[in-house]
Amino acid sequence: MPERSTGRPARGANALRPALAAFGDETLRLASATAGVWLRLLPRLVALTLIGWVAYHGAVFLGAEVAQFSPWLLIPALSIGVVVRLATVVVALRSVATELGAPALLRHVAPADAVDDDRDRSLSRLLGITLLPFLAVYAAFGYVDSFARDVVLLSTYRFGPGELLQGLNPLDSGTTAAIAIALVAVLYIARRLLERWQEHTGRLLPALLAALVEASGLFVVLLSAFRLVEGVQLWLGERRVAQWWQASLEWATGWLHFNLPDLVVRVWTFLGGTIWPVLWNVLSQPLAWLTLAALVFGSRVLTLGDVLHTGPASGGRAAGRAERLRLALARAEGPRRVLLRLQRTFVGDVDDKYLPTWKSLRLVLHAGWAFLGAYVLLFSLVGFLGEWSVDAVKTAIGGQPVGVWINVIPFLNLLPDVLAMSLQLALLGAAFVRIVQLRSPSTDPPPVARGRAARGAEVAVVGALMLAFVAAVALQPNPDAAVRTAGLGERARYAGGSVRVDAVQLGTKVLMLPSKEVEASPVMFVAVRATVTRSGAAKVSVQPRLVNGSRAYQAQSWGYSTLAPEAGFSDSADFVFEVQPGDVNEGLRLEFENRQFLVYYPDVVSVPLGLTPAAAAVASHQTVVVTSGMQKAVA
Amino acid sequence: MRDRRLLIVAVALALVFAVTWLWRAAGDGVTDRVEVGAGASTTVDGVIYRLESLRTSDRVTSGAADQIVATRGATLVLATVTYDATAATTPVYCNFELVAGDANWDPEMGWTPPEGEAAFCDSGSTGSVSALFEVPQGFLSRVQGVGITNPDGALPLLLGRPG
Repeated sequence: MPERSTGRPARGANALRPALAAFGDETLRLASATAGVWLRLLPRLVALTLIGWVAYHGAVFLGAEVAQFSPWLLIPALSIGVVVRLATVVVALRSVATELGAPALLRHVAPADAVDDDRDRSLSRLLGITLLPFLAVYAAFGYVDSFARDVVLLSTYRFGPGELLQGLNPLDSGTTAAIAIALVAVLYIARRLLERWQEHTGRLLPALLAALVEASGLFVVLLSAFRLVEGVQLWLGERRVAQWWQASLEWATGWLHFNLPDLVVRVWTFLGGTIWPVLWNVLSQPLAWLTLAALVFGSRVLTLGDVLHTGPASGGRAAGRAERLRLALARAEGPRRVLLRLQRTFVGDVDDKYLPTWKSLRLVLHAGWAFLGAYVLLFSLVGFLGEWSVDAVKTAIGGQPVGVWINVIPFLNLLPDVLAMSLQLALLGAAFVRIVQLRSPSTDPPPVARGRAARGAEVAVVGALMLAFVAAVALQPNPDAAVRTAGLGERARYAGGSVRVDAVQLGTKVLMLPSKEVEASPVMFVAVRATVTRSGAAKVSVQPRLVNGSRAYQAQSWGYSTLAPEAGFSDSADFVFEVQPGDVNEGLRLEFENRQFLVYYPDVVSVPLGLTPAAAAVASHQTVVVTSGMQKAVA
Repeated sequence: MRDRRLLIVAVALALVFAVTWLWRAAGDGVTDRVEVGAGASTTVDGVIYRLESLRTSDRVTSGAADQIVATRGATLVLATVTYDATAATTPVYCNFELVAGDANWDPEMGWTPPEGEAAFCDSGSTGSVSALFEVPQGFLSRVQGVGITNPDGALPLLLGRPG
């Protein structure tokens, strides 16, 4: 809520209280508006998100199945899924906006020169206008990738690794490369033509077809054509120019006392692997969705000056660029004319897809810190509640082979895809209406001209709350596996069977029986006797590994490395690990994990070995005795 | 009213998808086998197979005169299969497995057949091959027969009870 006039700007620490109050006020306002509209529209929101859920998982299912006939068939299957899912989101957002009175509010606050397209007139017109930019942003933020990832996972599980990706790999065959390149080009031209048709007729059909074609192009790139870029990179990496570049880099950074390329890689890894995922989840994702929502709700808050490509009145950089191109094209001849036409097509494409989104983002970012903080917090909270509920169900089910999870995941996703998503759509509507209200001079007293201290306090409050939220999210346990701890000699349930660790030995030499071969180590040997039991038909293949903190050791080749008993049998073997003496302490444990090509929330049994540094010191001259064979017994 | 109709349509769609998904999931991990009646023969890649016998024992003597003794609680099952690979144009391997529902066992590695029998088939030849399996006694009554490993299609299962 904007700060009310007190005669003078707030200063210093006194500014914190109003900032906190503004934040709390915005949070409560958004939460209550969201709850209200969610309850009023519950059947419709649940129906639309349910259709979106069917579209997503149905497309993944259909894609994996039809890819058996030809891998290219999965492209239209996935595209239909993406477009249907986006359409349900657009329709749901429109429903929420209408319910909250956004169209009337927009007419009220619209500036005199506001852009008034006819998106409010009919649903088909709205879809026609918004689907393509919506899809562009949806893809830019990685939502389309998940379709491609899931279809590859399902296909790999059902039909084996490599089948699908190999069939789409343009580096494997010239025909595939030609198909991929031709598809990218043809789909691009087809989409531009469909867009032009849509602009002239205003019909829904060409808009839907354009979105389908655009989605198809995205999937061709995501599943196939990206390898061409990789191929070029690999090819370049093997040329002399790459060595020259490397040598120049080394020469240029030679005077530094540290390894610059290594530092760059480390910083990049830290930013990309640690900072970005959290930032994306907590900050970018809510803002991206609100931007998309602003795109759907209407353009009346944007003036002609805002929407640069709608007319020459803007005088903005993009409009100037377009106008310059148009004039140059009128004068040009021959090859220059072809080049300019290509340039205009590209510029027009970028403008059509991303400019409206950029304007929407500006609108969102001008809404004030208190509002943005409250909105981001609530959006993230609802999103995380969806994720946490899935984690809770996973934990309740326990570790399972990947096949079980692949078949269960669509149903688990009902929680985030329907429940959380419907709440988030309601929140997006409430947030957009609030943005419009904040722009309206009549709904609230105008904000006072705030001093730097007041603005700084708002930023500090919102920043601190965001940091606390990010920390709370980051500190959540990441349940990648159902880890069960068992003691030495204790039989632990594992993947339909059981595992047990019986004996632990420590030494610097290994005596192998019956060959009596002796091996010495400059570090330390840890030998354990492990037993894996397979009670039923489900296959178990276990590769025990020794773990201490982030360090893991695989069994050495002179001992056993894998146990895979047949149905109804137990297999026992001695596993020998060569470890750093510093890792021989209370933290050292043996972990059993079912080694498969695909893994998702598997059973993991962790057995602390009960070793101490004192034991390591005593064992420094001991010999470990192990048997080379594998012992088989009936389970 | 319109919302309720939309919800009914959405739920119906979701149900259709869920049933299709679960129906497909039910087939996961289930090996597609073609059962061949006891004593009957089947042709795989140009080779004709017929299960001659499935004999159980606690210990057997291999062709190399080694005594193979069953693990306590388990039984050895010796499968003998006749084959005719005279029409085979590609290499023939004669890989078998013992099948009991979803469970299956691979042949014992240490087994070498007695004189007159082979462990592997040869293209262009006929004869009989034998494979030795070790099965927990609890599974013995569920054994259905010998499966032929066939990477190119459905797996034939030569039905037969161990005796």
